[in-house]
Amino acid sequence: MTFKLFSKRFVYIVLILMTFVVGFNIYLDEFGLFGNVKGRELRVTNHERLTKYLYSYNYIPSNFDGVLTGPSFSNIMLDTKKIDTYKVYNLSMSGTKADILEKAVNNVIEKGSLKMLIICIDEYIVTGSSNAEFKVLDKLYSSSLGSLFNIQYYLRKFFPSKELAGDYWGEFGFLNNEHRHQTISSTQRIDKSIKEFKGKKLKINESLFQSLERLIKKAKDNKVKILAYYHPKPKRKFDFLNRVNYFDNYKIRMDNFLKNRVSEIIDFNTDDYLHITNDDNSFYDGAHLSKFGADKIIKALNKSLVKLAKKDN
Amino acid sequence: MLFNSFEFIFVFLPISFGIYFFLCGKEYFSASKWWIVFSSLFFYSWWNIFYLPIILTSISFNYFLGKFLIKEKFRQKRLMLLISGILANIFLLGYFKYKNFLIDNINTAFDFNIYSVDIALPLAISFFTFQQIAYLVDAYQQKVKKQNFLNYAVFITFFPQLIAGPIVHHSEMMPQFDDHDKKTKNYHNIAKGMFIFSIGLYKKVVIADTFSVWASAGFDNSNILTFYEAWATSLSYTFQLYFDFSGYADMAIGLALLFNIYLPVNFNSPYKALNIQDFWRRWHLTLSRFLREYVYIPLGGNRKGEVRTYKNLMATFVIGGLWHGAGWTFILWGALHGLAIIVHRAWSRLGVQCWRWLAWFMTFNFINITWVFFRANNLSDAMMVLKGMLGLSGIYVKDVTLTGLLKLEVATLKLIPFFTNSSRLNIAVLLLVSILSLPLIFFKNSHDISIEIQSVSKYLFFMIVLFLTSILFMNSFSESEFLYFDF
Repeated sequence: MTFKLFSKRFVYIVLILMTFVVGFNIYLDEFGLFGNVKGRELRVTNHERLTKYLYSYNYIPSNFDGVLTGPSFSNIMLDTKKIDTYKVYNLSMSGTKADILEKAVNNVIEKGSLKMLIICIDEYIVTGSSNAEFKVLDKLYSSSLGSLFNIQYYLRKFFPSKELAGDYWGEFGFLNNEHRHQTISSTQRIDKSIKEFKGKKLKINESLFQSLERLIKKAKDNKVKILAYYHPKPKRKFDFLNRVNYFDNYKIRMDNFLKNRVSEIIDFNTDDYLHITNDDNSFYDGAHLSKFGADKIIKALNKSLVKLAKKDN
Repeated sequence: MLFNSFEFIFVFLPISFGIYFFLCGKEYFSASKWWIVFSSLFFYSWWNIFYLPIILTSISFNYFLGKFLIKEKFRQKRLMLLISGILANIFLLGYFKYKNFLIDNINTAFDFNIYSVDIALPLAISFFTFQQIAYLVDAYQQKVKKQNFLNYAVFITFFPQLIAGPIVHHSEMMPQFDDHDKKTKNYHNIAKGMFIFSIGLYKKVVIADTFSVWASAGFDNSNILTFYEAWATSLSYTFQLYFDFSGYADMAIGLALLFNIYLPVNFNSPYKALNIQDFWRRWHLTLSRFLREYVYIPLGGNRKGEVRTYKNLMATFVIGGLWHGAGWTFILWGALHGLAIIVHRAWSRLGVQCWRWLAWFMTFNFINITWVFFRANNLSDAMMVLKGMLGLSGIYVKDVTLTGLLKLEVATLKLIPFFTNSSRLNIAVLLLVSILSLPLIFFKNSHDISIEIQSVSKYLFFMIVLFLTSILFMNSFSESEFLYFDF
């Protein structure tokens, strides 16, 4: 082979193989990114944050007119398929802060089909530090055409990790990890979480709070209705946190910001919801909802959504 | 534009290459040179268009000063011109690179409160300033023949070497651009160029960027590093720096070869060095050459007695350290290397031989330890890492049983911030990369391999695997600029 042929073969083979890989990923379209995906049913199988973020570009706006977003508190067991008034995708992502939520919801808003945004405004999303994934989101779209992410994704899809064995994501995006609940005594876990509390005051990360502010403003500017809610905490834990002044002025600040910007705010930690928060069975650990608790929350959200719909009519 | 970016590989490079040889084919040789200058400046401005006037002013100033130096007959006048030229170049470099360092030190020393100015360091300023100082010195010494502006501009801006070297000498570059035999496509050079480029790309995006995750995680948490973590951190950086910079140099050499231009080799397996002098004959060769010819020898070199030689060596290495960055860590790094060179010189005079393996072990570890100063954000961070390496922060592995460590669980090693709960695949990739990095250090280097290239399937397959793996990594999440862009 001459060097001319050698060089040409290199260029052609590289281009052909790259086209094949990109074409293969576009053909499979695991994340509903390309073309008309209306009517398709995609389920998260692994890499929840990255997968749901990719869904937010095209799949969610094409198939849903509402989203529920927040951290794991609104992700686990909250099956939004049970919501009647809107077709709501659960775009909550475990361990996620407001900056990633902002980017994901923005993608859905920018497609123009979003009518209802339900947001879990637990302090978790505006405290602590951002997730490492935040830095890679902008590159994720192109990475989905052929990268280590694809290899990891396919391997995890066909060879699920043992850590997640038994967990699965529902059709509308919620994480079902019910199989873990039976092995844990929620009462013990709540008591333990109180006992192990380190006594620090909640400290808002201003950058994350700004992300949340931008998200709410953008939704409002785009005429998306917003229902915000405070995630329920086990009553005795909530009382304990109040006693140690953990929340500081978080609720006042959040309420002041949300006032006049959202259609409704629900605080599941008030006495109106003692039937949820006073019952340890509503939780499967010190904070997350059990199926029993999640169904009650869905019922309450449904009720508010129906009221909002009536008000609009 | 980064060499390891899609826009460079798939858009900029084919266009600049295609148009260059189209113009050469039509015998528009001047136009082809203008095209190289234009595309190189476009490549340079891609980062920040505001850097463009700086490089253009610098090129014009030095070209015209060089012209005067060539013309001027009187030595005294030439000397004045040279001194003012060198001072102007150093002032430019100093203003952008060392101003804040100087202000910080004045504030600390005299308890002043002078405000430092937040100025971005123009890309490649250290490289093109050094290249032009060398040109002025040679013009002063009448070693430069009359040049036209176009040739000079090509010499400085030629995009493969513009950003991070190799630091080229006008005498090895300008004749090449004037050689009409180099104006036609040479498929041997193209194949070799693509081959070296693929090796460089692989070294950068697959190996260096993977090690960088470990190194950054360690240096960002230097206060909590235990013995094993501190060693993992420093070794990661040692490998990262080599693969990053030599990868860049390989890419530069490969790219230049596509245009039939030979750039000097910049690395010759430096971690195989058996003593510190040997190391500096293998590491960043073109910088070493510059420092030797334009700093060490003018200071007197080894011609003025042993003590003066030691002083000259120390001064050269401190300047070398300072060239890399405005900080005491860089100065200390340079001084340590200067000291090591002096000790080695004194030792060599004793004529005592050392076992090869011991010589290698001591040299490698000295280099590894001194890189800690080079990488750390400040002296206190460097000391924390070194403390960890000496076992003063504890010789244990945190929160992990030995079984866990053997399984290399990411979360327990706490060195990869990205995928804390991630799969073994990440670890498998890291292990694979670590294993792959060993032959690259201990066996033939990219230059040796490229000399042997033949147009046979074995090399084609190797090249395709390297290139496609690199593309896969490039399109993955982590992307970093080349370390030497900061210098």
